[in-house]
Amino acid sequence: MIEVENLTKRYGDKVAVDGLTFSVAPGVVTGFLGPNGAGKSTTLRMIAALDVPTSGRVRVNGRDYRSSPAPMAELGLLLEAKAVHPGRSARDHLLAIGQTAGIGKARVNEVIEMVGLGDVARKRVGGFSLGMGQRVGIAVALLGRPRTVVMDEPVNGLDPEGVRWIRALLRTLADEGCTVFYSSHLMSEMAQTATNLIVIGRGRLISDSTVEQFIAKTTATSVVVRSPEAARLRGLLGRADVRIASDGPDLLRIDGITPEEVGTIALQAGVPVFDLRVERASLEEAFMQATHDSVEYGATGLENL
Amino acid sequence: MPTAATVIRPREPVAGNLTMTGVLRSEWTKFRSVRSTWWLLSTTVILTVGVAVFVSPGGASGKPASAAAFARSTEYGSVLSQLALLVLGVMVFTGEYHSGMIRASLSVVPRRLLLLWGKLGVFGAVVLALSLASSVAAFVLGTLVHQPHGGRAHVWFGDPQVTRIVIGAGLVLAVTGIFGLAIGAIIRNTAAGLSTIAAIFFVLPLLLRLALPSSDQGFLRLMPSNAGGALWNAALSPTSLSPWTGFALLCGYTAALVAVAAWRLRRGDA
Repeated sequence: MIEVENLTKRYGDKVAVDGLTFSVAPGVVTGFLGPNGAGKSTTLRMIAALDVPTSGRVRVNGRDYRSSPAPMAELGLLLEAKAVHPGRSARDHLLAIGQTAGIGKARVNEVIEMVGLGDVARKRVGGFSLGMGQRVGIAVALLGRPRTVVMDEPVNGLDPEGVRWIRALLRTLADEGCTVFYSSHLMSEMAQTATNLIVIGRGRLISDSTVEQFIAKTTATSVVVRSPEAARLRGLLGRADVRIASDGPDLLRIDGITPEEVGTIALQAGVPVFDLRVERASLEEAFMQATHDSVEYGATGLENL
Repeated sequence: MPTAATVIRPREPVAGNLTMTGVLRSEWTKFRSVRSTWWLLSTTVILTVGVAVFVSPGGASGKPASAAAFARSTEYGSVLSQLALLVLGVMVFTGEYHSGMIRASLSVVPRRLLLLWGKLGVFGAVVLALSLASSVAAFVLGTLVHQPHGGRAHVWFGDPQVTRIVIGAGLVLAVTGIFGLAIGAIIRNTAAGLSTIAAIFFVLPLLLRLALPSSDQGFLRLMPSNAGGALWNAALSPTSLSPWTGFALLCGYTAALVAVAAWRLRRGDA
């Protein structure tokens, strides 16, 4: 469980996080989205008590993380890949982290095998690829078998197999009762993994709901119909609250009506229908829609390309 | 929206409480598992012992050397190895800031001062043991090599001045290393930390000596390098502080820097 309350972080004049309030429940995977510079990483660092909030507070599993007697049992953290001395082996790195909480070599070896670094655990981390470095960071986060896991861009640098693996990992953790909170800029990936979603922009909360609710409330859901008598059907559906667009000679895109209504009207009029489906926006479209006003570092267009 | 936690299978805890002992173990693992540690520690020993062995205390005159002269050759080596220990001390913290490791370290040690005490404890213990051992070895080997006749050395630990200089050199080296550690913890950047150390210990004393009129040079003895040097300075110059006063002053500077480092580590962003 993570509870963020009125959290604010200022760097001089610049407000990175602005009165953020949300909570992350255990047992489900919660995604954390926002444009670049929205304050995601700052928020995650404040959750881990690495950055000190200007005001507001954070609780991890019901308490201030700094006063936790057994921090590694409470919170597992992945912030940046390869936050390791390049001259140290992955094994020594994990051992040093674990020893603070009395974790020994047996658990270190177990986690090294689990993240697939068994063959290179004794090599210096300086020679690791981005993906291997990412696995070291993931191993650190899992080392203490924490009740809450927080990861900033965990799929960064992972190959497709690694992406599938992290998806299964996050879901399994949640199924086991863990609180799982992670950020990603790969939205199709997040749509497949996360159940709940926190969206922020310019340090403020934009949305706190399930992924489905977020898409549904941010974008319109359309009914798409394909019929050889599209023009006739169009006439039958004419109503003040219904907006119809033609996507092709026999294709209609209809907003403000359910597929049940369209199907019934078509049947009663004897209009043949070859395709009738609901088209939902993707998470990416919903995200763009929700955050277009709060993009901090937007490109200006491609005119000068 | 958030559903209640459904625990499918209980997660056996593997992580215990955060303890000072745990942090000390962790810091030892970090310290020993990086190559530069061993390079710099070897340099310290080789410089201290090597200079004492190869620099003849008696000079060219062939006369039997005095106790002070023998101890003095220990001092020459110590001045050089001071530099190696300062570098090592600075890098204890700046190395972690440079790689980003500090955030991994502090995220599992949210009571941040434990990290400072852990680093201080491990580094202090290693450096103290090593500098005492190398300073004693430097004196013993230097004496055996350079004594004029075979057999037992005529200058030995019974001489209170010798004991003070040899033990003192070890103590000063250890405290100097901690001085570097504190500077690194405050400045957080290797290049800036090393420049600061070089300025305080080597450049500033030299510039002040050249720039100031001789009547105003009394306060030069208050510089950290000279204050510490008083303890091993065999031929006490009239301007120098008394040995233990000088050492106490060096310890005072170091304690003040450690306090600043603790304050900075505790209240700011990692």
